Amino acid sequence: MGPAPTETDHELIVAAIEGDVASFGRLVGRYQRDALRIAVVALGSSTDADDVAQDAFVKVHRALPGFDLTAPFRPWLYRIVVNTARSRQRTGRRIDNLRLRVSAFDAASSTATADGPADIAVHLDQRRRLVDAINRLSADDRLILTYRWYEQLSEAEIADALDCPAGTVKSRLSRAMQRLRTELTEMSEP
Amino acid sequence: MNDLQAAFADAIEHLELPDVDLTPAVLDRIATDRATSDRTAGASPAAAEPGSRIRRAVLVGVVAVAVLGVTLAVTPAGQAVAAWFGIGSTAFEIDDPGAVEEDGSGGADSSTLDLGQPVLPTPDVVPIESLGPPDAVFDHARRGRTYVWNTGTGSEIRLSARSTTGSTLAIKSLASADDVEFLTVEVPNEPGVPRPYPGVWIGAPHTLSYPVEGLDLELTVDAGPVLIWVNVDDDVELRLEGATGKADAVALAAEVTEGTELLPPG
Repeated sequence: MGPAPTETDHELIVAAIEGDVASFGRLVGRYQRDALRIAVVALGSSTDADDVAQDAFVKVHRALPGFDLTAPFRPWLYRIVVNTARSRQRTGRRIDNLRLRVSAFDAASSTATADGPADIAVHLDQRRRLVDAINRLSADDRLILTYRWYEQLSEAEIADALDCPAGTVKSRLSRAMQRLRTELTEMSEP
Repeated sequence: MNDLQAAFADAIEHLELPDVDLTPAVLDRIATDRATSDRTAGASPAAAEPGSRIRRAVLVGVVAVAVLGVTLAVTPAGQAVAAWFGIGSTAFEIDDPGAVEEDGSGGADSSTLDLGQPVLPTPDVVPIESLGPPDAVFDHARRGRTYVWNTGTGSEIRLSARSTTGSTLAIKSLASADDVEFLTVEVPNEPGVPRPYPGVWIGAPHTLSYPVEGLDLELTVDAGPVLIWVNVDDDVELRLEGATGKADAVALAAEVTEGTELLPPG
């Protein structure tokens, strides 16, 4: 038997609603890295991100019967991930060392794309500086910038993920971008 | 995408993430969840699978709507209703948009404390852990109970619980059906096992009308933003008022794990 044809999110969700747990497992496999990344951005740390993402997927499974099958899955998933992260921050233990960190493995692996040792050093330093600036932003700012510039969500999808009016996304995004520029500028000043 | 946007995407791409495969753990928890549901289903028809809980919630709403229809039919003063629907023992009526105006108070339903009797000493129960023990508790004719927290800024957060069994119907009049947003409140019934309950968020000012038990009287009061959800297993309608917004209300509601335990004894 050959490999299973790639199923759409819709097909996996419908199958999961009908009780096919394996289909839900494939949905988890498809989106777990995205969910982990959003959990890290929302928490401001990788601490507890795996627990948050795991909790979020269990909640997603329970809530699937109420999912609007005409809506995209990712914004809905992200909303549940972020709500789970906020709930954990509100009721859970304090999380120390709240800082996003660049993966050491990815930092090393990125050398393959750089031109030479000097370029590599500059590139990694710039990335670390940017992550430091991102750490100074609020979770809401980090999330909206991530949704737009990393996840490439549309404004409507961002509104869905943030659970806010679509008409406010552009201005929120603009303000978040401005705050990121400000942080970078202030970090550059002696 | 400009340079900063591209650099931002690059930084997020290279964030340190936990190196785990969540799939086995998630599927294990789903299996445990199902086994728990199967065991409790025999003891309590209400503790069925999520889908049936939601269907049951819809049924509760349908019953509420049917009761509302009867109420309006026998009430001489019943006004024309353009559209109506409900949850728990609260029905929603879409009224003339001009009839519901912002009164500037932005407050919660004053109804939750009207005619309520303070419970003294304050019961030793903490329905919302992050808020701590409530500052006051009020009972309403043994059918409902309201927990009040003073937030320190002159405002209050109120959590009201009332049984949907045998309760009189409350009617919320709104300017538009768009003011009612259906959602789910994910309340854990045991550690690590979330349970979404059907709920609604009403962010716009509206009015609430309800009959006063024992008196031939119906009160109508101004109401502010409120989250209402139904703990279907226990047939308890829960209402949270005074939160700073929908997200805050949903987050606080997610901490409410009790149902009938929040009602007055007896």
